[in-house]
Order: sequence, then structure tokens, then C-alpha cells
Amino acid sequence: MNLEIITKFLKEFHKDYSLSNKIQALSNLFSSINIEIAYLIINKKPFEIHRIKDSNSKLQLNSAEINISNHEIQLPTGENSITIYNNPIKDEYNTYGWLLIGPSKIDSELEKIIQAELTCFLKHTINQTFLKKAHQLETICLLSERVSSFYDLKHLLDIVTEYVTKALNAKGAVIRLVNKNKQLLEVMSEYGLENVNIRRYGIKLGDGVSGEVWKSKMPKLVIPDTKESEQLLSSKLRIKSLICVPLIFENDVTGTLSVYEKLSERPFDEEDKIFLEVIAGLVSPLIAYTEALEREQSLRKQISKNLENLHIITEINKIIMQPRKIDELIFLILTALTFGKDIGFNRAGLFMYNAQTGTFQGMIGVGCNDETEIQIWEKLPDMTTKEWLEIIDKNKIKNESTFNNTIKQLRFDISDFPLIIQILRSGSVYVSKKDEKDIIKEKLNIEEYAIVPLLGKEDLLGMLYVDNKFTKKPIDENYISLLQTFASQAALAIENSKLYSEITNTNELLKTAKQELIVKEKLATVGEMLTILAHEIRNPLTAIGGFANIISKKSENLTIKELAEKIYIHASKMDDMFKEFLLLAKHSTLQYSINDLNEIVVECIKNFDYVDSKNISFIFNSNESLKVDIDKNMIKVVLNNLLKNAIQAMPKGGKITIETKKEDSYAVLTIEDEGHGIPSDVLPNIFDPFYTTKFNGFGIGLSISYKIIKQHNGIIYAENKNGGAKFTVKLPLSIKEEVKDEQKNSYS
Amino acid sequence: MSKRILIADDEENIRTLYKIELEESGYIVDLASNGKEAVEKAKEKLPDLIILDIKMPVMDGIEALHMIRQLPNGKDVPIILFTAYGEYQQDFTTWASDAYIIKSHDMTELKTKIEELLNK
Repeated sequence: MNLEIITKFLKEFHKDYSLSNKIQALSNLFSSINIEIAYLIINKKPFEIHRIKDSNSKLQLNSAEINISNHEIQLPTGENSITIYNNPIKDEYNTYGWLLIGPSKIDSELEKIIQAELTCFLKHTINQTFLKKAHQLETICLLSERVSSFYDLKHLLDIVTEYVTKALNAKGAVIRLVNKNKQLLEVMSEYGLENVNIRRYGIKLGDGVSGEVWKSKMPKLVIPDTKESEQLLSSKLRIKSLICVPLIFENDVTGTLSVYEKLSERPFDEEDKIFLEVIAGLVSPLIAYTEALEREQSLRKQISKNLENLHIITEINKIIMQPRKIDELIFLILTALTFGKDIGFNRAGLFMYNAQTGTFQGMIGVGCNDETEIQIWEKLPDMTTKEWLEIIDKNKIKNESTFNNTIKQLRFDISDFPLIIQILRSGSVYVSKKDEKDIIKEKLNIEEYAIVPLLGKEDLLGMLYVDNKFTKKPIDENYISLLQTFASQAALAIENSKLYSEITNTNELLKTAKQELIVKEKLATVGEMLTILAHEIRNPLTAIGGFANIISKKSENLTIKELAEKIYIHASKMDDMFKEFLLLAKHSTLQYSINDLNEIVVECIKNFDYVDSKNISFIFNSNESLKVDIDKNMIKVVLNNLLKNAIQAMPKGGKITIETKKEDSYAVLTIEDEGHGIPSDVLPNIFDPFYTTKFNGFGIGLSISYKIIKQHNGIIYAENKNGGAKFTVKLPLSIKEEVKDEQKNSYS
Repeated sequence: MSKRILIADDEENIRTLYKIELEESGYIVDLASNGKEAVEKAKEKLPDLIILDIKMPVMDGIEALHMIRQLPNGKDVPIILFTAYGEYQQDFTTWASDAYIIKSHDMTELKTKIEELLNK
């Protein structure tokens, strides 16, 4: 055997470890020793059949024709005239493959060398495969470990891409996950692909290799020297091979795992694909689980944020839900939206909705006026909205925002923004769209704002407006959910407040009605009693007074004359009292006639001429004649009572000032004295017939006066002024007289 | 010639008081203690003026007034109704009386009224 040939062969054979090199070396060798047919079958599943040399086209080996039993290869026989020799490549433990050559045998020494070399090589290759498998198993093991103790999905996916890249000796790997909202595959993790132009933007269903895998749910293997490989090579990717497997969980594709370009000579094969599928099977449920977990966490976050919001709202609620006047309440609500660190909008306003006219009317606006104010606000002590509200509520702080005037001048018609109304009616917050113009933006010269509906039990009550004009802080999700909760509470508070006002008003009415009823009842009782008393007492009293009068006139005895006169005077006083009682109890209708109030006043003052001796002076101021439709005698009773009281209040004398004037549709008369005024505990009940009797000095006269003035649809009240008492009587000016005046004017 | 006045009142004191006062003023005064007595006395001899208390037993002043008005010449005799309390004020004209006066020891008003009616 030519040593030279063997040396050359061995040199070539050991040049490197690749299979192609070995085959090339064998091919060269066989060319030089007259071997026409040579195949190397490697004992793997499936077999690898390598054509070393085949000049005779009659022999076309394919795996179907090869029958291996007991590690012996049986070649097809029959028509084949060519003799092929079978050289098993094996050691004492294993058969690694077969070398088929023909038509002649080769030199036995050379055969031994080739067999030894091939055995050594194949053994090494197969060991390598085992090693690779072991490596892959190790990877799977490691991954399973990581997977069972992972927390962060991104981190886990990074580990997966790194491991599979290393395990498959590839250039790099990428995991893409399906974004369910957008229906796109998006890159979640990649390894070793810094210089590869893979698609990093979203991939649509059916688009590219990954998109195809997503659609078909089937793994995809692209090996070199195929049409698909050429397509890849000519694309931006510039790679020859890849494997892409779907990540499937419960029959849903959650993503894809792709590995690019084998670094070693051997291309990706089915086994690599299966390996990747195992990895994918391992990762898929975790992705699904993590997504669920993340959803839950974000939900939990949302819940905790909601709880926080709820806490703020509850605190604010405690303040705003207290019964109070509606404008006070609205100011507090808006302040809650602008003050403090919890919500802190720059400005807030309230529009009330009028369902009848279909308009929104600006009611109140609060908030800062310019940037400098914002800075001042930011420097204010760090307090919660609740604390702010308490301060404002306690100190009754007034609204001084210029925004208040702006808002008050605004009025929107429903037709100005029909779409927004639809949103409001559904109870949602409306945040202005970035590039859309609308009437509110225009009127308030604002870039971003939000409006929240205030929904009452039946219809829209109104809307709250908020913006961050100066800080330009975007109105985000958090704000929106807070606003939503806030608005529903505010609406409730406003409705409550409305009810509260109604109740207060009703209560007030009831109170008045009750008081009137009590007075009437008292008067009725007084009336009944007096009817009896008058009958029983006035007759004898008249006799007593009358007889005393006769005695005083007829008696010659001065002492008797004087005493009889005293009896007469006291009987007169008692009789006067009874007359007053009678007036109070009487349910007579009034005899109206048009009179000048000033004339009546003058007449009444004349009646008191006798008091001159008591140092009482009357001052009467009047500018114009005051025509009133009244029962002259009754009004005289009132004036006499009031003047009598004023005189009695000043036992040492003094000045009584009487003034009359026109005020709206009333003739107003005031009587002021210089006495000591009315005791404060008596003042509220001074017109009560039973109460006043307890106060020495004012008889039943004031009750009668009150009754008479009420019957005239007038007003009477008492107050203390400059130390003395001041009584004011208001009587409606006569409309008839006015009409007459007008007619006169129109005729002239 | 002195004018005759008939006074009807159930209170003896009042009757006495008015009798003294009016006699002093120069009238001849006849007394009756209820409405029925007043009507009988008026039927006997019609006085120049009659004063009737409203509330009286047996027959009240209003009824007596009606009956006196039905007597011959009864329509022309001046009649004054008087009472201790004032609740009938609004109605006295419908009773066809000529005046309505609240009883008082102060005779001024009554005397003025009588003079006025007799001098018509």
C-alpha cells in the first residue's frame, strides 16, 4: 500500500473536525485507489446517508432501501450488478455506521486505518450529540428551576433567550409575545441579536415567519440551501437558518420563540426544533400565569388606589355631607378639588343644568389666578384636603378667585356640545381630546380640561369643570377615577343640600304657622273668656263708675267728692282695659277707606295734648302724603297705643320722634322714644297677648296693634335704638289712589 | 215739654244709673227689666225714644226692637241699642235701630246721641 496516499489521506482527514472535511478526505482517497462508489451511513435516527463518491448512477441509496438488523446492514439485491462491500464502523460496544464501497474491495490495511479513523470520528460526533443533548437537558432542568421560582416575567424570558441561544450554539434568540389589545406580536426579550436586523416592531398575524407560526400554531424550521433560506438571506435579516416555535397555552398562542443562525457547521435540525418546543411548553404556561398575575397586581394596585381615593373622599364627605346651604357646599366641593395635596387641580368650576332651558349656567369658580399663585400654593403647609376644608369651613373663607367671575359669565347650551352631553349622561368623566377644538376650550382658553357630570336621582344636576391651566399636569387615569367617585358624592351632597334647604324652609313655615296658630288659639280663648267677663263685669263696672260720677257731682263734702272721683277714674281705667280686650277678641271686619296716614298721626298727637305738663315733646317728620286704604279708627287705636307706650316709657319726660315715609309699596311710620328700651327677653314676644301682660308697662295694647296691622296686611315690629324703643309700622300704600293719580297724570 | 225715654235693661244698677243721669238732663224716664216689658210699655204709650239692652232674659233687645217697629207709629220712634260688649257693631243697622252704643259709665256719648236723635 502506498504510504504516500495514506499519509495524504490522514493529513486531509485530520485537517478539521467537520463531517464535510472527513468526506472530502475520503472522496480524495477513493479517487486515487479506483473506488467508484462510496457511501457513509451514520447510525443515527434517522440515518444520515452521505454520498462520498458515486460515478455509477445506477445506485441511488435512500433510507427506505437500507435495512439494518442486528447492527448489520442489508443492501438491496437483485438487478444490481455492482458489488458493494459493507464495512461496519464499530468497536466492541457500538456500531457507529457503515461505509459502503464498490466495486472492488480496498486494501485490508487501508480498510483498517479508515475504519479506525471513522470509528474515532463518529464516536466523537455521537458523543458530541449526547453532550449536546445533556446540555439541552441541563438547560431544561435549569429553566424549570428558574421557572418555578421566578417573579419577573421579563427576567425569566431573558434567561430563556440566553439559555436556548447557548444550548443550540446559535447566534441569538428572541421571544415575542402577543399583545392582546393591539393583536400584534411584540419583542419581549432578545439575546445576541444586537447586530441582526430582526423585526422589533409589532408583527401582524400571518406576517413573516413569526406571524406565520402564530397563525398556524406550528413550529417552523428553516435550514440553509432552501428557497426559504434564500429569502431570509436576501431580506434584512441576512441569516440562513432559524427555528421559530409557538408559545401555546390552552390552545392560544401567547407568543413565539425564535432562534437564529447556527454558529457551528451543523445546521438546525428536527431535534433542535423539538428541544425548542419543549422549552416553549415549559415557558408558555408561565407567561400566561405571569400575565394573569400582573393583571391581578395591577388590579390590586388599582384597588388600593381606589381605596386611597375612597379614603380621601370619605374624609371630604364628612365635611361636605353636613347639612348646609347649597352655595356654601358648592364652594367647599370646588375647594376640595383645588386645595391640598390629594387632588389639587389648578381650577375648578361648577355649572348647574337647567333642564327646562337646556342650558348649563356657570355658578362658581375657584382656583388660582396665575402662575405666581401656584407657587404660593405650593409653599403652603402640607395638609390634606380634609384639613384644608376644615380650616375653610371654620373660618368661613370667602371665594376671591377671578375665575369665579369668568365661570359666572359662562352659559352653555346643550347644542354646543351634544357629544359631551351624551358622555355626561352616561355618568363618565369627559377629558378633552388633544387635537380637537371645542367650545369650552375656546371660551376658557385652555388646552386640557375635564368635566364630570353631577347625576342626581332623576337627571343631570350639572357638571364640575377642572383643569391644570398653570402646572399643565396631564389629567390621567388616576384623576379620572378620583373625579368619578368625587362627582357622585358631590351630586349626592348637592341633592341633600337641596332637600335640606327645602326641609329648613318647610320647617320655618311650619314654625311660623305653629306660632300663628298658638297666637290664634290664645286669642280665641281670650275672646271666649272676655265675652263672659265683659258680660259679668262691665255692667256692674258701668254702674260703679256711673254712681261714683253722680256722687262726685252731687256731694257737698269735698273728701267724698274727691274719693268718688278716684272711684270714677279707676273704674274708667278698668273700663278702658275691657274695651281693649273687646277689640282684641272681636272678629269684626274692617271698614276700609282711603286716608292720609299723616293726617291720622296729627289727629292722634292732638289727643295727647294733656301730656304737655309731663315734659313730653312730639316731633313729627313727614315729606309727602301717604295714601293708605285702612280702617281709620283701628289705625288710630294702634297709634294711640304706640304713643301711650312711648309716653309711659319716659316718666320724667322726653322727646318722641315720629317719622313717615314711602318705602317700596309701603307707607312706613316709626315712633322712637328716649326711654330705657325694651328688655331683650321681652322683645321677641312683645306682641304676644299673654307674654306682654307679664311686662309691666305695655298692656294688651301691643297685641291689639299687632292684630290690627296684620288685618291690614301690614308689618309691625319693635327694636331698641339709641337706648330707647323704636316701633315701625308698615302699611301697604293704596293702589286705588295711585291709579287715580296715574289717571290724573295721563289726562293732564 | 220734656221728652219721654224708655230704658230696658235687666241690670237694676244700670237702670238706676241711667234714670238718674237722664232725669238730670231733663228727660222723663220709664224703665223696663226685659224686652217683653219694654214692648208692653211702648204699646201702652209710645215714648219719644227707646234704649234697649241687647242681652236680656225673657225677650232680648233685638226681638223687642222688631216688635216695637210693628206697633202703630213704631217705625218712626228712635231706638238705641246698647250692650256691654262690642261684637255686634257690624250688624246694628240691619236691625233697623238708629244707633248702637257700648255701655259706659261715661254718659257723654249716650247723651249726645239722644239729643241728636230727638232733635231730628
